[in-house]
Amino acid sequence: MNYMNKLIKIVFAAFILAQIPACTKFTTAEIKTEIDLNNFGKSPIEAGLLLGQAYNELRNNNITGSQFYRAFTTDYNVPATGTTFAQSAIARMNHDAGDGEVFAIWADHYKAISRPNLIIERAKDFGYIPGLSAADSANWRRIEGEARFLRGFLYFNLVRLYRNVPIIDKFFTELSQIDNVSNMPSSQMKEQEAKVYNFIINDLTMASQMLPNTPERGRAGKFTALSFLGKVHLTRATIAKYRDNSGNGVEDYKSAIAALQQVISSGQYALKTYYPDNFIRDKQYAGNNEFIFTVEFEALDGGSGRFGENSGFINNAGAVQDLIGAIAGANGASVANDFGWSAFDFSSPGDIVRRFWTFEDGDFRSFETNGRFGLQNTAVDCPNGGDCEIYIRTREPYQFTRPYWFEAVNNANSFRYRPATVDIVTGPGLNNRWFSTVWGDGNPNNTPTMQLVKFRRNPLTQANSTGAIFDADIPVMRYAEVLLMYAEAGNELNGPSIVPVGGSLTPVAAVNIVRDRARNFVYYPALTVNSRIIENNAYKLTYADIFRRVPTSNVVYSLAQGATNPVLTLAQATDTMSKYFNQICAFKGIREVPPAPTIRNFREFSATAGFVPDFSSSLSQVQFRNDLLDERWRELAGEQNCRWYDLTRYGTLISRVNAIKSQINPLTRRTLAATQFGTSVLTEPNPKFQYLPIPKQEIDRNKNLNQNEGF
Amino acid sequence: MCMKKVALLIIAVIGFFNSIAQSKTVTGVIRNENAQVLESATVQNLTTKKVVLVGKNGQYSIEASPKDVLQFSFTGYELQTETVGSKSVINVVLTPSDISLDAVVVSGYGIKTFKKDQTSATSKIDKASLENTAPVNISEVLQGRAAGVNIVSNDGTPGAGFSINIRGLATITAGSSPLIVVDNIPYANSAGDAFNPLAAINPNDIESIDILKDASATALYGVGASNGVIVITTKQGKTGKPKFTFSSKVGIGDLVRTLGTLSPQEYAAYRAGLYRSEAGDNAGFATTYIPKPGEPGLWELLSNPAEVAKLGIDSKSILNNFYGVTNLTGSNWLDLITQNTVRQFQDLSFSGATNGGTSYFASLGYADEKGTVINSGFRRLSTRLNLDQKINNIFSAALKFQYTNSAYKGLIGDNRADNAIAQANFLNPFINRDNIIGNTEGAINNGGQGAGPESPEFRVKQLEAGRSANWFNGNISVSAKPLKWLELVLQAGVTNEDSYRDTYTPSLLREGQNVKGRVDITDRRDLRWVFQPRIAVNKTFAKNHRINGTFVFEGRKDRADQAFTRYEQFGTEVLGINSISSAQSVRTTPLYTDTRVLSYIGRFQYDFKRKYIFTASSRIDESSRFVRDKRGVFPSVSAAWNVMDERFMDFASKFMSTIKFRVGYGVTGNDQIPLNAGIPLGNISNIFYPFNSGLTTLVNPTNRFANSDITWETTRGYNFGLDLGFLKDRITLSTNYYNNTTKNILLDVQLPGYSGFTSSIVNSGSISNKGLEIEIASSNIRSKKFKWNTNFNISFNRNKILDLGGVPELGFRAVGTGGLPNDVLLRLGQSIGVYYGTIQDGLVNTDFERYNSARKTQDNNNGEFQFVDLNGDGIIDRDEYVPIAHTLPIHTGGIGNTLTYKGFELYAFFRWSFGNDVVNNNINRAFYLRGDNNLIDDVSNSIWNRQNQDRNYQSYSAIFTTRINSLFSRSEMVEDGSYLRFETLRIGYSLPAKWLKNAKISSARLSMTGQNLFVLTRYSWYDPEVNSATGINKGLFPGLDQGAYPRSRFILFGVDVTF
Repeated sequence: MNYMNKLIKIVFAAFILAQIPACTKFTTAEIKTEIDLNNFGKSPIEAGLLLGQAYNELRNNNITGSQFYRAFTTDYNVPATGTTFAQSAIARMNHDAGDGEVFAIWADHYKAISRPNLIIERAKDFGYIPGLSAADSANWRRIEGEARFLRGFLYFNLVRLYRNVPIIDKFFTELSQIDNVSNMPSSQMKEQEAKVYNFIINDLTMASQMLPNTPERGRAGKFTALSFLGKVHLTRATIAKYRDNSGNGVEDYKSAIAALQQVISSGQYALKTYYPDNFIRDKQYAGNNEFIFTVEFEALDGGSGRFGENSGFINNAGAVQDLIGAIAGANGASVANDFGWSAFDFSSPGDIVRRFWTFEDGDFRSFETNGRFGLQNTAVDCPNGGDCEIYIRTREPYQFTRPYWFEAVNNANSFRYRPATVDIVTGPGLNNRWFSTVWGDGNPNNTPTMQLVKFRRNPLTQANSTGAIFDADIPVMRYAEVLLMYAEAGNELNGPSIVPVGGSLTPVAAVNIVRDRARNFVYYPALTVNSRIIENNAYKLTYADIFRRVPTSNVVYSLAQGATNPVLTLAQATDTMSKYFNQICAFKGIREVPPAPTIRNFREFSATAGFVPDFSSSLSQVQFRNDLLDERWRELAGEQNCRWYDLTRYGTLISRVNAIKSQINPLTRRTLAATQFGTSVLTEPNPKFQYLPIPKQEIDRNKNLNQNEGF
Repeated sequence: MCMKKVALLIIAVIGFFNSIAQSKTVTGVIRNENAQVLESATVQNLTTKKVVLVGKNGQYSIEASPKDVLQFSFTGYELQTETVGSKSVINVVLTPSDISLDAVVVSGYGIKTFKKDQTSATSKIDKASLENTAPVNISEVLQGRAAGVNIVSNDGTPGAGFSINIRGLATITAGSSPLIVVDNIPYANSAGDAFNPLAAINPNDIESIDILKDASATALYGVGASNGVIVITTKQGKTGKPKFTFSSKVGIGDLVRTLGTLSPQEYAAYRAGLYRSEAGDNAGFATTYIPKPGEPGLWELLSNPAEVAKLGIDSKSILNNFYGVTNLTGSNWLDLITQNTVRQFQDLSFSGATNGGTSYFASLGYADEKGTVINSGFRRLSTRLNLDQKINNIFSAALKFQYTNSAYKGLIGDNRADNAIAQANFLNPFINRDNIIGNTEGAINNGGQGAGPESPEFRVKQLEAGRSANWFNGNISVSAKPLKWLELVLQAGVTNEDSYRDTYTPSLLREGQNVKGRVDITDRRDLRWVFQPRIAVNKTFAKNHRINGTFVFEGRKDRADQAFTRYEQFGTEVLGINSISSAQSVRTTPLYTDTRVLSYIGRFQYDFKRKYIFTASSRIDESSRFVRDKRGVFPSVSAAWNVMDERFMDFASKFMSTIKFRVGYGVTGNDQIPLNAGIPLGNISNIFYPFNSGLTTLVNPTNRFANSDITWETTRGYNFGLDLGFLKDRITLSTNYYNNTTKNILLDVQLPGYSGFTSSIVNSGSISNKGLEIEIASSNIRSKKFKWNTNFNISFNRNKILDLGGVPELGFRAVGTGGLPNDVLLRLGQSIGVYYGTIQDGLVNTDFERYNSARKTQDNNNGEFQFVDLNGDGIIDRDEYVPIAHTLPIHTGGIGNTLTYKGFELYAFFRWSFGNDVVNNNINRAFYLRGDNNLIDDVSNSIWNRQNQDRNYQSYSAIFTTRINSLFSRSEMVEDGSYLRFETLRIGYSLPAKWLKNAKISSARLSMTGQNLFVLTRYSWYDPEVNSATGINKGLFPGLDQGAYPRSRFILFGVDVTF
């Protein structure tokens, strides 16, 4: 019995003793396949891994992707009907604080901002400690500089979209920190916006001092930071001078010139000879370096970092992966599909008006319809029989070679089956069918969607590319924009013809560098007038065929009931048609771009010498400003929400959109208000729609935040 | 110091007890009708109220005087009494009963309590259920058998997972799975909710299943227990001749019901008519094909078999080339992809015990089920060895050992909206059978939206998917019983599971096309060990006072190593999945997880004359899932009063045998949150960022904020119970009322966007579950030849959200339903499982109605739904979202009847659910010609058109042109999901013993079992018992049907032979 007592004692003692210390060591789980961020980012190598993700966040539909161009309405851009974007409240300008997209754009930006925040904290803690090697010290500088650039870039987006945004400059580790974020009271809204601009300028200035001079593809360098610094100053100056009328912005314009001049005189950048090369993957990094900052895509980056996937372009109309086989067959070759990035809708007058009335004739960056006028036809000429009119020809079989941005694509099936010629046809007897497409199999009842196709998958044979997924990079800042910004700031200071203080060019000279490049095109000397220009199974038309359809009256078409303004006359039509012919002659008939294309300038040919004229140095300051804003759209359309930001910094978004609301789309003969889309666009033209509200759920979760005025 | 005192006190007590323990004893052996010993039977001296448990070899010994009466009882057997008289040896043969009379409740940790002494609420799966059903997995047996246990399997896929709630859903985003304990060791499983977690266990190896329901019972399991505890005990060898059992069941099954869809020709005719009538109204509608005037359209042609037969080769090739149609007569997809299911079970076991103190049970089991959909199935091969060895008077040891190989085939838990069954029901019958890509689209596909359809038959045949797992469990215990009242046990268990899951999508299928074939492989190893020393004390003193206590230390570690690998870009696919050497690995993701728990458990029970019983337990848990607050304390107290043992109740003893009141209170916890949720983590991303200098590796912080303050959610619950027994417990009634409140709910709350994170798990919010459970067991007729027993249970649970962390509601989007977000809202004061949507108010029939109806986001068209404009602002929007479906039942239950006549036996079991809604998301497909849908066969009488405006469903053009998305969440989709299911019918016949004697067979039974014979329901789809939701929040989306895999009806024939 004695041994039993001992046994009992031992067991009980062990049992109770076991309870006393918390076995924290045992009950701390091992982390092996993940990284404990509490203990990470302490060396430049580790911080570099975090930095990579900070860059990767930019490949987001809501940050640099297609969301803006598809969902933000301007006078020149109304989102395509039938897309989810057209139904978005932002596009209809009746968004409120509860809108899902308002929150998504916000949250994605702040998520991206949290990455540089963490890196900057680590750099503060570990990048300045004594005893660091020179190499480590330099690495830390560069990493911090890049993080600051990224943070500045993201806040610049945010402040332009939302204005009154909270400044978050730390990586949160405790819930209480998140709750404590506060913001200025509503009455001081402008002061909060000003604070954010100061914060951005501070980040970008520091970045410009920390970053290396030599540009490296995809990474921010000194001149990246300076270009954006110039853009921020320019924006702030415009806001003060035009939107808020709170000052003349002179200091900011000067600062903009100072920053941009450094970029211009650095000698690191030049315009690409041929404009479309900026958007064609294989050409982006050949020839002149026009890119000051791009968001990168690469097939080999793990299968998820391709243009189209992370950037949201994959959802383009027609960009359906499984169509490839069918397309290849229809093209009669192993040619895969050719998708681009789409933004605009044919039936949206803003876009159409823009293309018809604002784009200059012959501008190669312009809408490639070219034969942009109506031609009445006899029943014989009309492909489907009956009475029809051909208005524009938008698509040719030479999609591989042309630099065009716009084309009509229809739904997946038609496109897949007859990816050939699209004519826009309408029958006066069919009032409810606005216009139609002649597909190979001839269904005239369809409404094609006219879309911007600036970024194309090109060449089509690019390895591993499918559908809308390919490896082109998104330009975020091009040298062309630096020149245009320089011209704008210079004009504001002294007018178009005077070299601003600290600068090296007159505004007119700067903008004409961009204009001159726009005249360059690929030249095919062997083409003749009678070359077959359109080819598909059902219809084979030549230039001569088109000209056979001579208009029979001066008025190409009459407007719908109640409308009064005839728009295009026969004279205009004929004139434009000849220009059109000259242009298409330059490109047609060849399916592949020659390996080393000859680039010529319009001025070298008498027929096109008048295309894209230089800005005249006799323009007034006001004329120059207006023309320059349009030039910005032509040059930068579809890039980084250019037009929306331009109009909002001038405070003219609402008035411009209102102005086009009643204009008649010459194709559909409808006003915007008459379209399905128009019923809710701008029903209340309220200035508040120039910016987005602070998302409701943010304010619900944190009473310290204040809503923007008007929402 | 303190320790010493405790030890001395205990020693003193021991001495005291030893001194009074003196009496003469009666001994004997208790056997059953087959002369097998019944260990763990109980013997009670009715005079002294003293109870002993029958030990190994069926032997007992009890103190008694000649006048005393001994009562012998054993689970599943009739009570028997004997007067001691002059006998000192009383051997007893008990006769079986199908009603548990004084069953032993197994609580795990070696704790077994006579039902009479139980102070908390538990349920036992009755013996008939275990023996009379032919389940592949135990989860099938649990369904409807115990009050308060609500199990809904995901669908009818063989081996599909299930969701199980004991006493209602007590959590929101944390896991809701109960703890399963097998032979004292928490069961380790890694299969995830798509697979049946109990698949590794052969139901034939199971001796008993106990379900611990109230907190006073489950508090013993602390942090694992707030969703209830299921305790499974496997079989052991019994004294007697070695017993050899062979059992075989083979059967076939088919679909309980099919849904009528339009035949191919009807479909074509319907579509042709639609084109003709609608094309004028809607340009978009006619995208595909408008025949020229005077020509038969494609669909008109296809609708007429005679015309199709006349087609010449040229015409056929035109159809083929132009429209991609080669399948001119159409297909019945459902027939093509389904088959009669086949189930078979082969089980072999032998068991026995030797005089040397060895008892053994060994089994080999084979189960095989071929699924309803071709190329799907489940197979299990399992073997078990349970060994018990008495070493000497003090020590004994036990070993339990199981190995299982299970294999699933086919996609498990395929809840995609276009899963095979949904596609087969509602796909254009003219899609080409053997080619899902290429030319089958175009003309045939009128939707023109997104990707064209795939042939379900082709898909099912081409896709190879499976999961196989090797599951090993070893569990060893050594116990020492140095004193009669003291037992020391050291138990340790190891579970190892190696699972391998692969999915091969050949390049012929859409998803595999662009990547030239894809294989996903998940290779996973799970290892769990449990170390569990315990001390049990069981002592009666001063005659009437009995104490028993159990003290346990438990250490547990689970680790999982997983690698997910994806291969693409096959060079060749001639060997199918085995062509993998020609493919490239495009992604490999490792995953390591590790959970550790340390626990200290104490339980103490005291009773006075078995009349007043008091139990208290406490458990301290320390879990690695939490960072700062790792420790939790989970106490419980409970008491019971056996009223019939009071003298004053003697008058009633003729008809009343039991009156017992129970009351209990306890605290349990739940730690089922994502691992390491309290540590800020980053992942090495499988995406790279391409700088000029090459691809940069990324470290990506997780989107969920790491809240280091989180700790477990806590459930506090009361339970009040009343047990009644009539006529010597021929009829027993057990009722429980409970009230559980869960606080500090682990809630995945959205964070402000500016935080940079999406959400964080916090302890916030509160839910209550109250309910009533009634279980009745009745031996209706008990003659020698004829017996009729009934088991009945019903349970009511009311769930209520008390607090959501300060917000009035939380919105969730039911998985895969599309449409507007937040169709499931949790609102204060309401229950979980409420779907929100708009209320439908017929259709827009005329222009007048159109102009006067409330607008949706855009103008209405004729033939569209009208919705009730609740706030009268003329716009249908979120303001019109009201509760449209309550998916939690008012009550559920089951009733089983067993009739025995001589060798014949009939068992019938029904279960039901009443008052629950089902959200039938199939409606959107079945009634609306959209894309390439086929339609339910009475559709042409239900759809609005200009000529017939008195219809229920929107016109085709309205659907086509407008807001398909906004069609979700509307009252039309909600149906009554109440049902009564005839779950089991078994007819058995035991061959008379005299026939078998010569063959040396001790028993032989033939049986026929019908499973899932019919379902009475008003629900229009396959099966109202459906649970299509997946993912972390699946518990919030009960009753959602998205084309779930239907359950089969089975008829099985079996033979059981014992030698």
